[in-house]
Amino acid sequence: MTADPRDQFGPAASRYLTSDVHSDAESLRALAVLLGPGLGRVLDLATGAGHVAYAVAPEAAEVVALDLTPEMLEVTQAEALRRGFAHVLTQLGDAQALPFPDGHFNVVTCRLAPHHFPDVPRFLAEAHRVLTPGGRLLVVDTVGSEDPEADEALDAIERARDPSHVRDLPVSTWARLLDGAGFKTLLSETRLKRIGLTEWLERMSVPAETQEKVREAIQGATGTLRDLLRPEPDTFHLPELTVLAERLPGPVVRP
Amino acid sequence: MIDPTLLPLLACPRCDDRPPLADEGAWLRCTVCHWRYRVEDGIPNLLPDEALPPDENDER
Repeated sequence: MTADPRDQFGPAASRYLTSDVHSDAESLRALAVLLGPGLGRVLDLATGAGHVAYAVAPEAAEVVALDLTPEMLEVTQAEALRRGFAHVLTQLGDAQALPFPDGHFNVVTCRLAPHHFPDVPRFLAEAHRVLTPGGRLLVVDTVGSEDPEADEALDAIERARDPSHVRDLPVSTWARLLDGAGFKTLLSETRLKRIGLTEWLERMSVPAETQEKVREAIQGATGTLRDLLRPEPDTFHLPELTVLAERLPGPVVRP
Repeated sequence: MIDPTLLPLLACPRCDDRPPLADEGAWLRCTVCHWRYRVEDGIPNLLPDEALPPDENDER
C-alpha cells in the first residue's frame, strides 16, 4: 500500500522551497523559455512549493497552483505574495479529479510529481479536459528504465526513500499514454540529473537504517541500473523527462 | 472568505460535468449533487474524498 503523499510532504513543505533539485533556477528558466510568452491561464498541478507557478507567472494572466497538501499551499501562497505575484492563486485538490470546468486553461504544467500519482491516465484525461483545444501540457518527471529489471530496482530505491512514491514511468510509456489521452507530443527530451545523495535522503527525513540501505543499493548497483544511476561518491544520477504536448481538438474523454 | 477571483472557476470534482459551486460560508455546495466542501481559513477543500454529504444531519 502506497503511503499518503501528504504525510511525506506536509512536514517537508518548507524544505521544498529551498531544495536544489526543486528550485534549480536554470531548469525553471528553461521551462519558461520552452513555454514562451503570452501563456494565458495556467494550471500548475501538484505545485509543491510553487516553483513552476513562479517561473510561469510573469507570462501568465492567471496561475492556479493546485496541491493535495495544505502545508505546501501555505508556503506557495506566502512565497507568491513575497515575489509580488498577486495573480497566483492556490487551491487544494487532486490532480486526478480536478475541481475546474472543461476547457478553462491554456497551459497545464506538472513537474516532479506524476511519480506520486496512482492513476497517470486519469491525470492525463483530466489535464486534457481542463485544457482548451490547442492548449499545451508540460510534464517534467523522473523516468524509469526501458529494461524491466532496472526499472523495478529503481522504483524499489525510490519507495524505500519515499513511501509515497508510486512509479517512475519509462519514456515509451509516457509516449503511449499521451497519445491515448488525445495529446500530440511537440517535444520530448531526457536529461541526466545529478543528485546529491545526502541532501536527497535528508529532504525526506529517511531513517538512518533505511538511508544506509538506499546508499548501498545506489552505490552497489550493477548492470543496466548502474549505467542509469552512474553512482559517484555521494552523488548519482536520475533520468528526467521533459515533454511538451498539445491537446488535440476532439471530445473531452471522461475518465 | 474565499478569493473572489477563484470561486467562479471552481467546480464539483464529484460530478462528471463539473458543475459550479455555491458559496454558503462554512462550505461550498455543489449546485447539482449538493455535496459540500469545507472552507478552512478561506481555502476550500475540493478533495472529492473529503466532501461532506448534502444533509448536515448526515455528517460522517
